[in-house]
Amino acid sequence: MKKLTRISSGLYVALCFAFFYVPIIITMIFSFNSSRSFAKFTGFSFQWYEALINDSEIMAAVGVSVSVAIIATAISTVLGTVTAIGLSKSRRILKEWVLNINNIPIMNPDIVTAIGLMILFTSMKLEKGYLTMLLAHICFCTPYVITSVYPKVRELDVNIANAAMDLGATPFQALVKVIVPMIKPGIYAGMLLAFTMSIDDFVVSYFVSGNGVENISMIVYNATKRINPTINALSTIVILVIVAAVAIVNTAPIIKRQRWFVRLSSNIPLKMKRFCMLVLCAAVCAGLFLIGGEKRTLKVYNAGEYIDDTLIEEFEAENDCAVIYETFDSNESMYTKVMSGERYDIIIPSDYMIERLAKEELLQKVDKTKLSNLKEIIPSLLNRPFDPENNYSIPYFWGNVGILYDRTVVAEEDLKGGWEVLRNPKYKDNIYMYNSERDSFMIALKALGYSLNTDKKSELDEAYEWLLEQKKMVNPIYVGDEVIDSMIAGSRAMAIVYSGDAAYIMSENENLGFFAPEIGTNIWIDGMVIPKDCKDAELAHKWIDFMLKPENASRNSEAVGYSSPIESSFEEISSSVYEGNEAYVPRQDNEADEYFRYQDPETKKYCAELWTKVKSQ
Amino acid sequence: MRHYKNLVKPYLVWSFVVILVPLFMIFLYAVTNSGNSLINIQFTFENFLKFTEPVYLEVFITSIRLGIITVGICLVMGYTMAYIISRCKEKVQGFLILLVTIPMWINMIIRIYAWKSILEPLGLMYTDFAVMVGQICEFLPFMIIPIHTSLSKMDKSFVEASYDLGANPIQTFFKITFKLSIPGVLNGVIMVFLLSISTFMIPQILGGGQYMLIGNLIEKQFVEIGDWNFGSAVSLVLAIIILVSIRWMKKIDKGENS
Amino acid sequence: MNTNMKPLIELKNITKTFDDQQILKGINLNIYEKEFLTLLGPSGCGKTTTLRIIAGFDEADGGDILFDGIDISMLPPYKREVNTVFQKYALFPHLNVFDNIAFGLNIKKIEKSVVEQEVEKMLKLVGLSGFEKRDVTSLSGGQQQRVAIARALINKPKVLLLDEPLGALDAKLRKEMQFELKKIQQEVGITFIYVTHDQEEALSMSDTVVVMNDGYIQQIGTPTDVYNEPENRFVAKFIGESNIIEGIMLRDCLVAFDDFEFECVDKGFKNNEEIEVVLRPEDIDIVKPEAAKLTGTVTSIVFKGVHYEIMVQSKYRQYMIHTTDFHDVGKEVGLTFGPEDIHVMWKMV
Repeated sequence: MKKLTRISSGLYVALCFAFFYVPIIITMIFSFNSSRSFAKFTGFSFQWYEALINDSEIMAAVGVSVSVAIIATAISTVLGTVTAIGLSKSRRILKEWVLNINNIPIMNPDIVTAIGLMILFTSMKLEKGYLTMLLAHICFCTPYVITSVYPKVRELDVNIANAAMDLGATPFQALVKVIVPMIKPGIYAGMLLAFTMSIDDFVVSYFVSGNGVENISMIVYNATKRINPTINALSTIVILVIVAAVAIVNTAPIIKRQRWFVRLSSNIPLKMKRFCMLVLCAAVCAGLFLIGGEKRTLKVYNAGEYIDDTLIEEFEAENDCAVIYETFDSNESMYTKVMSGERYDIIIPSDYMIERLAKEELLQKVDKTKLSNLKEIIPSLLNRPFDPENNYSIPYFWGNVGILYDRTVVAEEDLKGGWEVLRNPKYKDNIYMYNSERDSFMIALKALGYSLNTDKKSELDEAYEWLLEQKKMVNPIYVGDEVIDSMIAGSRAMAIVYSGDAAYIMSENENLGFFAPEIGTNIWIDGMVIPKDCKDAELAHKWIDFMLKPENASRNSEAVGYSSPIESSFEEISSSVYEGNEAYVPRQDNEADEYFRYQDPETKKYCAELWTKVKSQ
Repeated sequence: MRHYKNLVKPYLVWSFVVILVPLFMIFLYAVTNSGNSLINIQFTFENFLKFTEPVYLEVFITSIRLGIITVGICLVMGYTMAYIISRCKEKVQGFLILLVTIPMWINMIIRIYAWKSILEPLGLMYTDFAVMVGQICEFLPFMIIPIHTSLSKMDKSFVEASYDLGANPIQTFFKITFKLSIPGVLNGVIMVFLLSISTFMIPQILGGGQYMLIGNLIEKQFVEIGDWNFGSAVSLVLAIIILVSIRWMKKIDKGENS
Repeated sequence: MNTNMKPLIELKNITKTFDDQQILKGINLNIYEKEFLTLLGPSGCGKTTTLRIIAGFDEADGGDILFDGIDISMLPPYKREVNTVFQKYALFPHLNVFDNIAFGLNIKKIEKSVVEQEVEKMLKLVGLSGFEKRDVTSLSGGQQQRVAIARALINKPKVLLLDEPLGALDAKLRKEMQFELKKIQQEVGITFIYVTHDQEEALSMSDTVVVMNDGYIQQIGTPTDVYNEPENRFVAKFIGESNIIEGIMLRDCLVAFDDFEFECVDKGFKNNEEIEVVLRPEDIDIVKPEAAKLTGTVTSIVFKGVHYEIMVQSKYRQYMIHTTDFHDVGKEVGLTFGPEDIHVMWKMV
């Protein structure tokens, strides 16, 4: 009986630990995979570590994470310790007040702290970036230092400082030579806590950072949509560093008792102190460097996975400038960010958003005389209704929206119903929808035979019913870029995708087909625009022209999979890399296909609410 | 010792600016409707009235339900774990607790990402199961640690006294051990509930876009929709829910002890 | 004690090892009904372990433990007919006084009204009537002690085990509680096994004192026996203060030490056997030097309240004497004692 309980509890503990560690270990294992796959280990390789080292974005994020953590820890440790000592000598009311306020960031959900700080920084007109991230980290780290130091201060004999001063120490000497050494355990504990809180933070950084300043968590978060073993490599390194650190901290007391350590360490402290100071200085310098200005810069804001990265480097080299490249999830999140005061030199939004930005006078006119490659653009993509004379935007990519389907699963027969195939109970739990209100409503409106730009509430209500019914009938999953890897893996029967993504996915999985229902779909153009507050319009024009250059456009189109607006590039790619790929060549002859137009705020809000309703029911 | 009194002053200013002012601004946004700037303030209650709409009520109910389920599962799993650990020899205990804490040190996003790479090939992504697994894995240590602390701090003689008075091991567990570990349990419950109700990354990454929890709702208002007023109102309500539940738990704790 | 009676508990050659350290090296002990038995010894001697083995919290490595003639070695504590008063009482902090005392009865699912009656009876016995609803953490040490006793006694055990129950109380309260405990024991009429390191406590309360050291029982006897007739140097030193002198047993009733021969009452040693002699400080009288065989000089005198503690340096050693008379330091004195004051012991090897 006793044996049985012992075995079963051992088994339980083992299972729990497996639960904790198996994902971590698998992440680590697949960082050494020779292919991109997470399903199969094809061979051992260090390629993802190489990719990691060569990825300047990730390396910059590592720098940001570490330097912010070190500086924030240093400042909050000093601030917290000093405060804790001061607190113990303060009047009771003040003490209670400070401790209560101090508890707020600890007990408050991260997300509330984060948006509070975000609002604060925005209203202080502080440009989001390294400094705001650092300030925010100091803000949420200091309370932890105070809560770990304060109890130690309270344990001190009240007369301890008096005794020191009685023996001739100044208050400062008493503080440094007597009080601080006595509360060291508390300070170390607080320091450790602050450091890990800072280096692990995602939520606060996500809201308060900007201008391309990202930490490790943000990089990983943005990367979670696509399979990217480079992130596994990064994770592996982070995990190993942390495990090593934890192991050292925990075995330190044991090691310290060893005779060799005592002998060795007798002359170490001074060196250690110097070393720590050095690391701190380095971190501060790195931080200042990241805050401080550099050479000529161009801030580009583009959708995720929407460029051939080598083009950025080439552009930087060609123009001796630095490109700060940021990505957004959706036009809406881009707009929100711009409205919250972020400044960019180039943004690449979609048609309807271009119309909105232009209407709200956020854009400056493009000086077409500065664009030598304008003539290369496919004529039918110019002068479209959202920007009738292309005063504000120059096409970047174009395409339409359709259904990507698995030929081995979906019967051709079923596709005849057009969009209604998305409500076919046969494919329950087997459909990916796009997690975007505009695209989803487009499908419903088109399926019902309405214009996708309707502002009639009755039609929108019908569309809402359509979507709701779809949700009840087939329980679709609303995803973003995750769809790319999932469909390559063939994990669902159908997915709503943009033609360009479809082209790329189909090139990786030959079982897939793409079709846009006859009843009409959305045809779109993403364009490059220059915001009013662009700091370097000349460089911005150079960027646009650079992207229009046929050979660059070809490379870009090939890498991303989207259809190039440059005539020669479009023809080249459609007859080479993506030959026979029906998704690369969006149809241009269907009367029912429409561009998105600017939605008036009322309609937009109405749609947003309906969409929230669809998702949360 | 008066010398050190002034040491509080810098933090007094600092905490006022970075803790109280932001809270006040959230409050201000929540009760106004003048968009993302604070010019032309117009006071209104409509941001809160929005909650009465079934859509948003639904979001709150789903979040709280998910939070409660997560807390429940974590409690059962975590208590068992903490109990087994607390029965081990001291050295083994230290080692096992270290093993429990190591994942807590590792970046949360990295661990969620790790789960994705397991669930994806198994075809389990974007399900309730995926979200539950992610949440439990992330938050379980926050349940184990406080319970273990209160169990290992507990004087062994209470258990012996109970045996001595004729209670068998099962009776002893429910009448003594569990009752005495309630402070730890409450700490764990508060932590896990707080974390699970306010998270937005786990449902976002593992659950897909159809997962709308309070955290996601706030994030959407600030990042996508740009309705800072409503977003602030939601945050305020979230903060209040957390505060109320903490108060409530503390009350239970006190009630248990008197 | 009447040795013809059947023992209630028999410990037979009990051994116990913790972490490679042998705590009990073979304990043999009989405990009788209605006996107040004290396990006395310095910390680490094994007395608490012995108690825990009787209670069932620890398992002996070897030997048998019989209860009413039945082997109970494998019986878990909750099935044994003994109850314990713990060192720090182990009152359940989440239960009030009533619920603490009623715990054992509630476990047995005894009817509520009966429980109430019993608890009241117990509270009366320990002098805490009216404390039912009190929070146990708000009670004083003495009151907690009483609750702990009531909580144990309510189960009507045949044996009550007490593990240094007075250790946490101040001196005055201890005295009171000693008296009270003895009273309670007589009232309920069951066996008490009492563990303490305080010899005074042991001597004043017990029927039988078991002196333990280093995992062995050193002596079992009545308080007067162990005080007056310590079997070895350890017992003599541990119980009361004493002068221990090496000497030679010339023959029955004649012992020699410090150059002199003294009459005594001890028999049964070999002639000329090396022995040790115990002289209790209060048994020595200070007289004029010429009236005594042993002489010496007063080296110190300390007032102890009831008596003086005087140290006298003789030719071979220093003697400690307790007396109510004052003698100046430096004074030449003589030391006398009667034959019955000399206790001869086996010499410890």
